[in-house]
Amino acid sequence: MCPVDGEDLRIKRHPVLGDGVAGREVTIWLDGEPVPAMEGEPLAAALYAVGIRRLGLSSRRREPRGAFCMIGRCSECMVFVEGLGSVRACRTRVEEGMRVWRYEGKRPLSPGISSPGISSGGGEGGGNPG
Amino acid sequence: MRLRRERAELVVVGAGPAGLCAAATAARQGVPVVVLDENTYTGGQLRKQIHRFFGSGHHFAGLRGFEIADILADEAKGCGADIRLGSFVQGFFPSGELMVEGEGEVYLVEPEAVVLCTGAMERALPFPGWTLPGVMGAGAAQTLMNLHRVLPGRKVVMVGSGNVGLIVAYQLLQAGAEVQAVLEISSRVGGYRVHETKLRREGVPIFLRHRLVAALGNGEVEAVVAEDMERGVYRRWEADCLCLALGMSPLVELAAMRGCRMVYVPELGGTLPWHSQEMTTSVPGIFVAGDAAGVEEASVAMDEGRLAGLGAARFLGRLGDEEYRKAAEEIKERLTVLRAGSGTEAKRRARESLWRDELRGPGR
Repeated sequence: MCPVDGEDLRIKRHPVLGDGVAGREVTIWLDGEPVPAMEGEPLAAALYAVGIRRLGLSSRRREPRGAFCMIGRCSECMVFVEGLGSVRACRTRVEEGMRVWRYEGKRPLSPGISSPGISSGGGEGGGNPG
Repeated sequence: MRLRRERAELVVVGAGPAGLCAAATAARQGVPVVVLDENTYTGGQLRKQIHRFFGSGHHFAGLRGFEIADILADEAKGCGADIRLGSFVQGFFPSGELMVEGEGEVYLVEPEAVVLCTGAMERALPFPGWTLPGVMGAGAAQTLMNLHRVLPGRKVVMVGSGNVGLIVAYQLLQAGAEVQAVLEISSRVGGYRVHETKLRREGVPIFLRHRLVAALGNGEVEAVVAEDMERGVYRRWEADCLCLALGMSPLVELAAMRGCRMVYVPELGGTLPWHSQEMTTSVPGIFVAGDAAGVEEASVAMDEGRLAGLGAARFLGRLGDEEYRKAAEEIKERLTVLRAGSGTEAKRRARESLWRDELRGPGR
């Protein structure tokens, strides 16, 4: 459950892309736990970088789901971001202090949020299918 | 709610190889062009290609995909194209208006002509465990590692030995992952020999006549099982990532929504807008190019884009028929050569029947 267990999948050396990781490190919050991330990168990349692949449970069968297409088409990576609503983690850029909740079936895990779609932002509809 | 409206002469949807070439070509004829792309970068899928391309000078042989992306984007901008990134086209109504979400606003654009270069998406395959986190498209893995510098997994199994499967498997090695196996259901490797050789040289085994059976794991991928169809036995690999390189399907929602007649051409990836050899669709002033017009290679997409850009310029009265014909012939000849070298016979035949309009689909 605790997201960060020392897993680091960032590519620091690369024969074509060169070495080093550029950007500013910020902290985001996943289900209330701090996660280090790079500003501006897709949320899905930030979570995968620390070894988090389970981005939520599907709405009907409550099966774990992760990013499949990474280009905003499959919607498997749907998460709830405070202020934005239901968004695809592969299309949503990391901002400092972003508060992200994974879906557990039809509801985000957040104790304070009873149902998706009632947040201030324009959501994309709750939970991923299946 | 009243949305802001703007008029445009030509809108190109998609800033990948086809879209950028369409925009530059039309702009060079004096057409004011707006390019819309939902990504925050130009180049589309070229942006994550880090291998060197083959082909001719027209298609930037010897350069890496992201370098070609920069050249094409500079060319389009240099010709005056207005490239709007982070601009998602949500709809293309039968009235001819496009609905765009970008820069925190939703607005309508009324174009006189449109070139749709919306690309393609990867195919999935249903099998036990296909929804487990860690199962992803090969292109998705490529996006994660080459664009965002994040390894999709440490131990990877690749399904599919076409060029995408072979290239992404090699790029996984470059990024520091272990590639356990490349699985291929047919009896021969699908991609080019050069890509296969590079992979074999690194010691990656390619298993022919192997059928993917399942992804196993408690909450995420931990192992992959395939059947050796020759011997009738099962093999199992420890893996935290299973990449699927099973081909692509054109992204055609906008064309369908606008009312373009759609046809089903399995050889070209599935359902796509009917189009002529000049990239015109069934709706006057609507053109299509690149993977959205049938999945082929980036170099084909560039020339299809140039052809569509010329067609749009002629449609808009910026280019005379004679000039158009001369320029278009040259591009068409180049496409014939490209396709002779890359595509399969079945693909070429399917494209020719498409042009002759022999295919019937559930159009309007």
